[in-house]
Amino acid sequence: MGGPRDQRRLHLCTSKNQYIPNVQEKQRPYEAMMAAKKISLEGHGRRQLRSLNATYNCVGMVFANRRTCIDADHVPMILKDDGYVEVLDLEKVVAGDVIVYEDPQTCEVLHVGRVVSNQKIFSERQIRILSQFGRDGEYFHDHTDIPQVYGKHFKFYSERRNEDEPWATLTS
Amino acid sequence: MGDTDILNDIEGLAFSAELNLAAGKRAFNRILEGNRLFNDLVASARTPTGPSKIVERIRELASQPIDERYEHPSDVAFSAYLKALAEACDPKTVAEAAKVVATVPGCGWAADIARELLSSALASGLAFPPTGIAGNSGVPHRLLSCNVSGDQLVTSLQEQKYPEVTWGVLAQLARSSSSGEIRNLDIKSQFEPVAVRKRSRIRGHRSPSMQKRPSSLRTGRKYASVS
Repeated sequence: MGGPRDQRRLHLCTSKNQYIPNVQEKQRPYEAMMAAKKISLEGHGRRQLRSLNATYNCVGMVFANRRTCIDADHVPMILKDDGYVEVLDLEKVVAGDVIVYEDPQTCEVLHVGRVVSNQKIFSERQIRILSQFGRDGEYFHDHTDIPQVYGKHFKFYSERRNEDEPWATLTS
Repeated sequence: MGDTDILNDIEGLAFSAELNLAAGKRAFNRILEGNRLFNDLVASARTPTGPSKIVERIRELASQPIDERYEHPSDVAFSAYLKALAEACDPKTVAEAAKVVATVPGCGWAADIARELLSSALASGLAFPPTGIAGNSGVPHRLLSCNVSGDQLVTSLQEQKYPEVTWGVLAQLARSSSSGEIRNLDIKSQFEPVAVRKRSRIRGHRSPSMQKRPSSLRTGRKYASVS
């Protein structure tokens, strides 16, 4: 599914020209999206809906500009080929970086999102994320405020190259 | 919770929303297997009348009219039903249900699961074997082996001369055919082999479908030489 011969796929490659399997799914019915919205927002006051579109998933939102669905299993390949490095210091996380939620035991990628802001409010760091909840719609949310199935374990990645530390990894 | 309640909840919007949080096939299966409702469904499928109820429900949902612009509203329900049958029932029932789901348009998760189940059913000879395609001279002879799975058949067809052939396309054709079965499809009349296209381009024709095929191709002699 989503292989090079699937008719519903886009010609999508990493920067090292490795094909990224993907599928352009159909839109889900209106009632299904409204129900998804209700479930996602209920009891989560800080979540904000951005868009209700089911043709792409979280990985497609971050790495394919909202054009297609990409299985989360391909995220490690994309991060590696596109030169992403882990940002260990939360203070160094900036808008545009990527958050990856994963299973701490299996390292299976469960969800990805894009950082939209990083602020320190009193003693607490507040990192806002924009991510597509599967195919249930796109939401702004705090980095710790996500559906339970995505777990609580996350890492930040960036492809940035800073002027003051050219080409050095951000982990140092 | 009664069987009917379980089926209603499985087909509900909340269950669909929860499962559609998955960012991939592995996550989808994990969320499904960890879901209480799904476990109730599996328990129900283990009862003597459970499997027939589920298969009957699959048939009902599959026959309902849908808006083809959108994903099938029962996509997640189909997935849950197939997975539950796969866990609790004999392979023949599973193959029967998967065969129905594989022909339903607009399915995403369910189509994937149905394809997997059908492939294993085909490999074990429980579903329609690809030998049924015998008689189509356009299909390479080596594909007519009993051991080839449905996916392998499609891949082989694509790699050889029929790039448009996918499992979904075959299923769709089967659905619209009089017999409703893949085994009776005439692959050669439905798809145009790549070899013909190349030939047409060399001759400067605009589209191979706009012209009459050379008589040598119609007899099937050229197909053998291309493969």
